[in-house]
Amino acid sequence: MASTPKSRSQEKQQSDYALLDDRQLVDLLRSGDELGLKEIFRRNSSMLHATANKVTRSSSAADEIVQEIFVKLWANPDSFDPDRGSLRSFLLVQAHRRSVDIIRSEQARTMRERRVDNAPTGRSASVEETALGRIELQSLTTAMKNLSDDERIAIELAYITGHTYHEVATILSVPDGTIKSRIRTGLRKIKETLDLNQRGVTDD
Amino acid sequence: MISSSHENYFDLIGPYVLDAVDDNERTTIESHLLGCEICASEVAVLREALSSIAPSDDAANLDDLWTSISNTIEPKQNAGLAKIHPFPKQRTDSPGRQAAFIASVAAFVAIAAVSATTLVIDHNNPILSSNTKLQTQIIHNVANSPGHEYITLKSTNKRLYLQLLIAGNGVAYVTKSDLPSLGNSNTYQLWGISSSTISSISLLGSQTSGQVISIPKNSNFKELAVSQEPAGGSISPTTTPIVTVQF
Repeated sequence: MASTPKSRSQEKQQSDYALLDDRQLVDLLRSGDELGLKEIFRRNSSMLHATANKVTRSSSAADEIVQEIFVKLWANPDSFDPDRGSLRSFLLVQAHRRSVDIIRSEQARTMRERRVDNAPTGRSASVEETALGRIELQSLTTAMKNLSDDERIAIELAYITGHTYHEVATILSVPDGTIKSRIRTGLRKIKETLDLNQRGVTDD
Repeated sequence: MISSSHENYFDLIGPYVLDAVDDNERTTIESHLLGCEICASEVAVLREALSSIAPSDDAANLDDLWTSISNTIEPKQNAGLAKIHPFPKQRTDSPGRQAAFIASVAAFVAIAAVSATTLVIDHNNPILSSNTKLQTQIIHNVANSPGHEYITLKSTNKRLYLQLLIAGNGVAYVTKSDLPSLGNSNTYQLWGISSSTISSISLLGSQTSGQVISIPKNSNFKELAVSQEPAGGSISPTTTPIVTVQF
């Protein structure tokens, strides 16, 4: 469909917003500029929706979560503090936390326990495969490749299935402290790999 | 139970960043983060790393979702003035539910418009965290006394609920709730909607279980609603109601 003069104008205006940083975009929200919100949506919605979808396993739930996040950001742009991190990170925290809250509801908990109950007990590949079979994190990114299998599994089980570290420890039949350590070490490795990549020093 | 050792908090930062802690741990860690720059900085660093590897589905067509959001948000007439935000409408699964909810939203919008200058704020209602045993006994007594009433607020998809036991004197007890625990920066807030006003009845805190509140007598509320608000509460609802009940 050919663009109307009006839509071309809007496209041009929207493309200008692509040049703005987080702080500038959020300032626009305070002044009631909806195109600012649209630009934030353009940059982040795919990531937020994919995360919510993977955690809740429901596209409609992901829709609601993303909508809720953007409506809240519009209503209260001051909730984002650019001095405490990126807007992407801020929005992701909300999307993931809301997703986890949903799947920890009683019904979902029952379903998860049923899945675990049906799996073999103790640490075994099949248990991990059961839990990880539906996980498609960007495990093949360089950052994730540098993790040990133990670290990667601990992070993915906790992040995607919504299990607490204690539940992950139970599933994998290891002490709580081991899981806490694997998660933190793994996240640190990811951070270090990303830092190296930003400096152009990669293993590839 | 988390000990007061800084090291113990630090060990939990990884799981906390992944939302892999329970509600009590989350609350405790967030209290610690308010006063610990080292841990707060570590949380920020790890969250940035995590956001860099978050999954993405670039093929997803989210145009409809944006349209829905755009249709939901309220225009900001003047960002310099306090704004009255009626509850925005939600996306719902079935046309029937959607129609019902839109009707509810229409009522909110109308009420908000009428009440823009007559909001009744009452943040002085008691929020008591009673001893569990004692509270159980009180609830038992109220439930066996004349004039009590059970009211259940539900979400539009019926997944979430909050049950109130209201005594004859207007004191209400949250007897059941599956609303998820919020972080320190947010609180649940109970609203009463009458024909001309939206009144804040009480803050319910980040966890609604066990809360004791007071509902004004002769309030003539036609609807009760709970929304999520920034800690400290809001003058008027800023988010979609999570659970509601109409009378």
